[in-house]
Amino acid sequence: MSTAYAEPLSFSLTEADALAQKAARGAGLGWGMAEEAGFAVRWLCGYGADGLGALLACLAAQRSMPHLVPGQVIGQGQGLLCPLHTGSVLLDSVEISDGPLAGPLQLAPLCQPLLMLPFLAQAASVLGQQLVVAYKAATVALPGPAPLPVAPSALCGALRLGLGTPLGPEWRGPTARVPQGRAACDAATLAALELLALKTTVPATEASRRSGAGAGTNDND
Amino acid sequence: MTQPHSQPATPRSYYRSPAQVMRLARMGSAHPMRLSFLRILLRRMRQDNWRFERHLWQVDARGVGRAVYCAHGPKRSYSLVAFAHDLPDHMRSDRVIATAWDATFALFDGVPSRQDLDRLQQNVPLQEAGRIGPRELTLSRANRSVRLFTHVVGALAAGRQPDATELQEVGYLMRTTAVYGAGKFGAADRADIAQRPEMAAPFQAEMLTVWLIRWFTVDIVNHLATQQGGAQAVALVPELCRQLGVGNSTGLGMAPFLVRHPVLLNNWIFAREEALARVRALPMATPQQLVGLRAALADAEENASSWRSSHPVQVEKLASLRADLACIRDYIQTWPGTAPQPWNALWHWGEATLSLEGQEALLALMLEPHGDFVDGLAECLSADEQASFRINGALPLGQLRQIVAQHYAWALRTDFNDPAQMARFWYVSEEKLEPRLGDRHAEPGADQEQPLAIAHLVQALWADLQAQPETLPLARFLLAHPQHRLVVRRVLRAPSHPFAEVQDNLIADTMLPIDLMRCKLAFFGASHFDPRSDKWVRISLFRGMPYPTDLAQGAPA
Repeated sequence: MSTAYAEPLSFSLTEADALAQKAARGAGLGWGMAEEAGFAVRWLCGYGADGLGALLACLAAQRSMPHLVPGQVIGQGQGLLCPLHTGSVLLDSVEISDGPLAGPLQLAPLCQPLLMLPFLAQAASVLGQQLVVAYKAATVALPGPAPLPVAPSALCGALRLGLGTPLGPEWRGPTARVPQGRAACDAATLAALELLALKTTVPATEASRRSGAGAGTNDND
Repeated sequence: MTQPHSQPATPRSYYRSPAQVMRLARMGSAHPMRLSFLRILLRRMRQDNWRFERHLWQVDARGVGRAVYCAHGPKRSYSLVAFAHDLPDHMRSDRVIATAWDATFALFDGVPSRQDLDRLQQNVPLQEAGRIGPRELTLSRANRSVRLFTHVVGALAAGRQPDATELQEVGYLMRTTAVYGAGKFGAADRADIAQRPEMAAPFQAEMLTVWLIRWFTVDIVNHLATQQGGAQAVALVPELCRQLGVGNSTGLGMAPFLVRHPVLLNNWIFAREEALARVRALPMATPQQLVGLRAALADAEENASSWRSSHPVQVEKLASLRADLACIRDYIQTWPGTAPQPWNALWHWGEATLSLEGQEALLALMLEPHGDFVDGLAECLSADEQASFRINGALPLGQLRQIVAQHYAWALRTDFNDPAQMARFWYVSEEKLEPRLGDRHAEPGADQEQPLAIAHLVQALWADLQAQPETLPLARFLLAHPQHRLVVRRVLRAPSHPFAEVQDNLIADTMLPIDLMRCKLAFFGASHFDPRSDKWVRISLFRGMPYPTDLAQGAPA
């Protein structure tokens, strides 16, 4: 992708989003969930986090699907909870009056928990109330000007989710504010994501080379 | 400028329905009009008194070097950075897969320093294989129209003007084969510039790029003519310059765009349909409007006479268009008469009399003398796609079913058991990373089908919804059926975005990708739509329109 820029490689958020979608699809997620991966990566990169790295690690791991029981999200299947499916179902459910975000919620340990934060930030915006993620001895409140934990690994382990203080008008609304910025990642992450993205493509055949884009006649006139 | 919300509500009877408008055959007959993006650009640049200059010209005797063209607005400047190359004939290809071009370009945000130019020189000529950054808004390249380019340089070098008929036959000196913007290859994100008034409407950076490229194409032929002819060479005269646009050659890569951006598509079509409804609802036609309509018709007839194509479908459509325009000319000789709502009467006559090509041309003509009612709608064309991205999973499935039944009846009607309706599949080629259309029954790769067959996706959703309880929240359904997530997002947008879906089966054997391309290109403002196959077209941009230097001298936009 790059020949002239040194590491860390710099991307527009649009590129990061598009690459995330293709890689997620290439790794086997449905197209709609791949769009969520793009949204999450864009949001994280906009805040300066390594969204692409987190996505790659997530896609490479075995993940369990979220299963909702009252007051809890538990994993179904092998591996840590998938942050994309978990974040999506929580955000999808935000307007359900007795839904999972109506009260305190216990979450089983997540794979790459950073990837769930964009969904929580948006859910909080819809609720008009901060969502507080409690882990080990600290908390992160979403959304906010500094929504990321100091060390991404801090979110490992079981999490508790609860409602925090009401949001000011600048944070309320149907969509969480996505900051503008640039995305960055190292060459190895880029290469691995591009390899996954390539799985969404189809190798050429002689027939497709002839007819694929439709140029059959001379185009040099 | 008229604000959209200050208009009195137009009665519903003046609007066309999505079922009428969103069919491929009609979309594939779209014409450029007042709300086309290049017209919006020209209006703004004239109204805000933009200034233009050729800031740098370092091109050698072989035509190799670099140039910078600046557009200075009230607050900001933008610069086209052009690199001119000496390309051997055998390397010239319009295919997106080419690796060398006659000229390469970037639109720079501001005025580039020498360091910026050096950085761009390392990357822009490589196009997709290079990187640009947040100071760049677009990346583009162009090839010469060999026949016309050589003829024009030869004539000018010999001290005479080129043959006007030759000029009209081709219509451009160079054609772009891609104009990338919106964050591609490292460029600035759309969101970085969308708040600027001059970039708020869609594709304004891309249109500015092409408009400045047009200036460059004239400068480069004049330069080469001087190098060849010395003192005897003459410059291309303004009347002939004016006839030249910038060509564009585009393949299948453009076709999926309208399907991938349903909110944007909705807003474009909605604005155009709103404009038509406002004109149809007018109680009278003033003498001034009549003069404007006649002038627009004369321009359209001239445009149709210089419009060439050898594609059988387009040849037939061109014949219909020419006949239809003559028919309109006859009809308006005695129009408006004394009928109330004369514009509506004209429209009804057109719908009953003209081909689709003629009807859509009439739409463009009717908008032309009504800038006061129409131009303000330019503010409604862009889209915040993120605003409608979130899925409200509280919706009970009974209501989701109602939305599908009401807005996707067209999709549920398609019989996908018929092999002809399943004939194609859209995919991305591994070799070129570009969209392609495959034959499902003969080619491998359908397991990597892109999600563009919306009707088929809707039917799959519909089938899985049948066994579900009416009251089950959508969130629960999607947790168990994540494969429907993409189409559910589209379905949820439908009630508030009635023009978001192309109401045809995009994988049918009869589907023509050029219909999608024509619709998009008409919104750009492209003229002389010339399909070279069912999947590849050439068009012209800015043909007959002013140059930056004309605009400063008060030429109409």
